[in-house]
Amino acid sequence: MNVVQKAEGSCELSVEGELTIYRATEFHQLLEEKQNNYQEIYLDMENVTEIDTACFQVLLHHKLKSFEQNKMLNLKKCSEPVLDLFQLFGVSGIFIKQ
Amino acid sequence: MSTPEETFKQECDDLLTTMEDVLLQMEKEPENPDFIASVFRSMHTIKGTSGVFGFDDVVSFTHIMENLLDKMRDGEISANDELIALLLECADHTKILVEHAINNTPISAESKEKELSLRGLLCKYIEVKEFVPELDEHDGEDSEDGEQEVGPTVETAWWHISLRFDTDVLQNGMDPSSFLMYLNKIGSIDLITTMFDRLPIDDSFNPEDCYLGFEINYSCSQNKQKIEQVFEFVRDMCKIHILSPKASINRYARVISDLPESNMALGEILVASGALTLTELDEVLEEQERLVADESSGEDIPKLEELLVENNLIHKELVDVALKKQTGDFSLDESDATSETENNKENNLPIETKTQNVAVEKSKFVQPNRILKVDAEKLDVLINLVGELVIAGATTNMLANRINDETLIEAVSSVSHLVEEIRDSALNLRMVQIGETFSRFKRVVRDVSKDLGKEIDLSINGAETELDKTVVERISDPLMHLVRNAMDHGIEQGEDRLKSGKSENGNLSLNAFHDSGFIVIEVKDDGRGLDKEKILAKALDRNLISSGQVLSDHEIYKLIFEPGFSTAETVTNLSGRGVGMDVVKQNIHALRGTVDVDSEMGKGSTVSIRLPLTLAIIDGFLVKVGDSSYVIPLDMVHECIDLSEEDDVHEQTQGYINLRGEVLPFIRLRDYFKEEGKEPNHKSIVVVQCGDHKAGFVVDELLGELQTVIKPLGKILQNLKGVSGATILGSGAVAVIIDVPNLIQRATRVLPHVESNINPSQSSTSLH
Repeated sequence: MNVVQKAEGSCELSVEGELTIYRATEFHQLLEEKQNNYQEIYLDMENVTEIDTACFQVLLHHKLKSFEQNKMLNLKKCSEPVLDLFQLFGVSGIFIKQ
Repeated sequence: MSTPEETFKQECDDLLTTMEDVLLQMEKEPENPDFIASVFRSMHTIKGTSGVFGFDDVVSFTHIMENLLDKMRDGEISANDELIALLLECADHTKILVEHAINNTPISAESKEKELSLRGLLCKYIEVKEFVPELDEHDGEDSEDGEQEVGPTVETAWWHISLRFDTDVLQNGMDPSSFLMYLNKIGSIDLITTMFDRLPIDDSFNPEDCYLGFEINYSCSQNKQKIEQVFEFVRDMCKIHILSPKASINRYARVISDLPESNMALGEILVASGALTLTELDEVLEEQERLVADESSGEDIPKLEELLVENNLIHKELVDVALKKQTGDFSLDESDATSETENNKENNLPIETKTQNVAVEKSKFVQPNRILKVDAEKLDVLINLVGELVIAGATTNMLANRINDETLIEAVSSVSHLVEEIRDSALNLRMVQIGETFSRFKRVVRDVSKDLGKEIDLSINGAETELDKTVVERISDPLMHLVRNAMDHGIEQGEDRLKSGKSENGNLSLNAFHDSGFIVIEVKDDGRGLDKEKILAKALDRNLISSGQVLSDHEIYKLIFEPGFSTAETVTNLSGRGVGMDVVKQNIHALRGTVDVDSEMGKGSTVSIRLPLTLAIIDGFLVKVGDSSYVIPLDMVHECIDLSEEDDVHEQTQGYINLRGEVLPFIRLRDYFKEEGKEPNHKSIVVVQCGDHKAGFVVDELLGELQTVIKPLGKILQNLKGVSGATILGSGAVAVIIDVPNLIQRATRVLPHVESNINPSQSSTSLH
């Protein structure tokens, strides 16, 4: 998982590979830490080859948290599997700006 | 660390053991639905988990069993002895399959053959049903719940599936998304709303818990059963409601009341998703009100009623919430909510209701699991540390006494009191009930008695007796030998029993109880008993004794524990090969235990195993001989007496003293351990007892009680007789722990001056 700090208060993350329950805690901690430190997070999910419900929940948790704390968690690019899962769960509207 | 496979293996073993146990109970009560349900659950879980690991062999086999059990559960097939026997065999086979799957080894030809025959037998039961065509699908589905659609129905074009996953579904290796994907394969999800009210936004979020639920509008041409099958693997890990396109309003009402989210919000989502129209929702809510009034008669009603009365007032806001949930716009915060709810007399009502709901849900999920699995290694580390703590405590105690500061001594004594308690609780962690080991024998007895064509009843007493886990594990094999022996050699065939005036059914009992720091396990049968003549003849034949020897009954019985001894005329596949009893004895000795046999011709025999309660720390009694310290396990110390001068002289010649009219053989530890140093004028005798035997140890000085951490002896010293271990004293000196049973044996059997010529008859006559 790469982290690039862009501007003050904003950071860009990219996650790669399989986002499954085995990495859910790691993924959660990463987002938790960044969310505590930055106002805006841009998450690049272009190279995610697989995502499961556990990691989806982590994403959702932080998205909801960002609403609550008036912060931003934006997804930059999403790979096919990520988009498929959003569609399956009927939550594309939450994550992807139309 | 244990791998997931190991955990799975462990779980499978547990499940199969439970299943076996239940099946055996089922033999007595074949119609008990609880038993069938329990067996089904075990199989179902094994199948589900095997599926996750991709153990296809296991899945395909257990699937057939599961089908059969499902039909038994539904009452289509009734259980009988033959079927239960088959299921038991299947459970065994499943175990083999699981083992192969985990070790990744190919299944042996024998097992393959077994599987084929089992499959054949299983299919005999199932096939009958599978040929019955399912004609009227809709009717079938309705009657499934035992009720017809009554009252007004809701007309929609879709099925409505309402899913709430349990928190642990992800940890169980299931991924909810895969089920939805599969739904999409056999039909199509037209509209889905992901319910995440339970998803915490604060730190209580656990990435490995599942908080999701789904409301799905689903179109497909399958029947309800097919849709249900999609969720077969998670059936007991989620709440599912599947409503047919023509479900009645009260069905919807029930679904709404069953689900964790607030009733209103959910109703709105149903409306929003098109499952219900607004008018229908009102009807549903009325129905809901009626249901609630019917079902509960407590304080809950006013609140819910209130909520429903407020229905029209809070209506608009909830539609907004529901819609916002769907579009994912979560900017709705509290200020928004208040501004929008000016009509609402109690504007925090819906929110409050919701939190209540959440709270209820949480308490349901946070219910503490009362059993914790802990790695045995961690416990060992803890016990080792407690051992060190005990030693360090002893040092402190000694130093405090040396300084002789009263407050310090007081403080130290309360610390040592605590240490003692910690020691006991730490050791207690390793204690398990022997019942689990015992109940394994139910199956053994059942199978073996069938093989032998004998009817044998097993009774178990003292299953709740606790002992160290390591001991339990290592005692199970020797016990198996003893049980099999008792059934094979001990108990006679039915007709022989009748002839000798006994009941036709043989009785075998397994008893466990505590006795002075030991646990005693008895295997008792009411069979023919041991034949002294045969044993003697055999012993002579094998040169175990010489022809002139006179042995007491007890000593004769003990011969069966000698290597290479078997009196069975026919060697069966169960026992009688002459290996076994000596191995049993060795195994028990390795646990610092003893084994004894008692028998009465024609009445039966009893084999008793005495085992120490724990292997790690004991209460000891410290004595001094010469310059060295020795520890005698306190549980075995009976009393301490002074050795009178008269006895002192006397015993030199005869090796026993008169203890209140009783003959007490004894050993001088000074001589036995070849201690040097000045011999005091005044000596003491520690009277020790093990089972029925008593003996005295002559020591120089009594030093008192001591918590003793048993340290194993090194390899060189391991075969030393009379010593069972060593410990470290507070001063750092090493003290030897005396192997009391062994020394008692020596004292009672061997008189010092005839050591070279063992003649048990002398000792037995001189004793009694």
